Amino acid sequence: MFAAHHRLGNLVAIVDDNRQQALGYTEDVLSLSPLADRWRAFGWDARDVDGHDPFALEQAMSPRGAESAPVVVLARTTFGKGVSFMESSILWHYKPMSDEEYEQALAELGES
Amino acid sequence: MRLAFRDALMELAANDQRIVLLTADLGFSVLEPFAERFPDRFYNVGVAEQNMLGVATGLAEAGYVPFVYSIATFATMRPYEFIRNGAVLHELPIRIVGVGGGFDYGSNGMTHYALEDIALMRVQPSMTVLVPADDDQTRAAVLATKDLPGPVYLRVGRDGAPVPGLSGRFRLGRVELVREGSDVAIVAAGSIAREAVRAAELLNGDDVAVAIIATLSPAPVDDLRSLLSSVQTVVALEEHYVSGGLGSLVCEVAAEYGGARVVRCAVRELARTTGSQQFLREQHGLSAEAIASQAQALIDAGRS
Repeated sequence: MFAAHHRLGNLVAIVDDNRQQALGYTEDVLSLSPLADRWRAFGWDARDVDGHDPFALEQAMSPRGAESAPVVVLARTTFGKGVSFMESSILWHYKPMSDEEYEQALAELGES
Repeated sequence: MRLAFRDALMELAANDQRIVLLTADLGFSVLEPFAERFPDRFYNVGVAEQNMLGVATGLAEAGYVPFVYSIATFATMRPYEFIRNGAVLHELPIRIVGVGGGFDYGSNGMTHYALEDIALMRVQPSMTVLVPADDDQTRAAVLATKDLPGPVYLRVGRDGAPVPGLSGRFRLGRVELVREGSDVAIVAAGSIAREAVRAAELLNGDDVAVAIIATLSPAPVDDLRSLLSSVQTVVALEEHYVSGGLGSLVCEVAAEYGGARVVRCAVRELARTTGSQQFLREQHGLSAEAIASQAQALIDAGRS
């Protein structure tokens, strides 16, 4: 509220919107939807972006300048993206990899 | 004491461009002169104490010296995590001003009674905790601590009437004696010190010392040790819960260095009723008469 009230247009907030949290999926635990609408209701310029697209992110992360609305980049992401056994997994927030899992993850990411 | 604080702050602000003042929508008829004279350095953040400390943290990181202002309960408890992870963790020169210690806001009810603020602030390392006893000591404390590089908590009472014998003396980390005596010492912090002086006068047959502690952290260990070793029986008086404040501090020193009997004259139960400060002090054993009777009991025990 403070940022919008004072028109802090040089401020950019970024939400890593992966829709999951410590004990489950956000929609099941404590829904934040509709996320963009909520930020806009509080006076922010909310920008929905593919969180895995660096060009789109760079464009979205541009402040409006002083005496304007603060910006929030709602970066839609997939937790563990690119590693088949980690994507959208709650467990992999916690679990350390075995040597085999590590090798497989690197291979999938094209990094081995 | 709020006006004395404000006047001292304005003097400092006139000579130090880094000083800014944030309030969580409190300070009516107190802060207006500051806002008028320094409009670019005054922020009313609204009733949002956590954000007030968040903004202050950012300002301090950017080189400013922020004073944040609210009623003591709201200035300390709601933003406590922000104080700990901001001001304390990053050792920033944020000055947290908590207005109204103890029952100062008597008619406003329990939500407004700061009975745990000294304990909460004292427990954080490198947080300087100041509890001046009157207007002159408030001014002296604000001026004396202007260059402290770390965070400061300043409990500013409402009634700033002078404590007899104090003459506005303040030295960081020291104890100020206002009355000599060798039978028992009453050690007090904040405006309740005036009740301590009245209590000593009620005991005019006995030799009662009264000492004012305005720095609760860093603990005034050396002066307290001296006092405890010369008097040996102490009433520690505060308008605060019995655990964690001045009484606990005095007990810590007495236990670590040995030799003194301490009685803690403080609030021991929930304040379930609302009323004037005078009424509440009487209800909780903090009137001059009640203090005198605690001191008398110690004197009698010492003689028997």
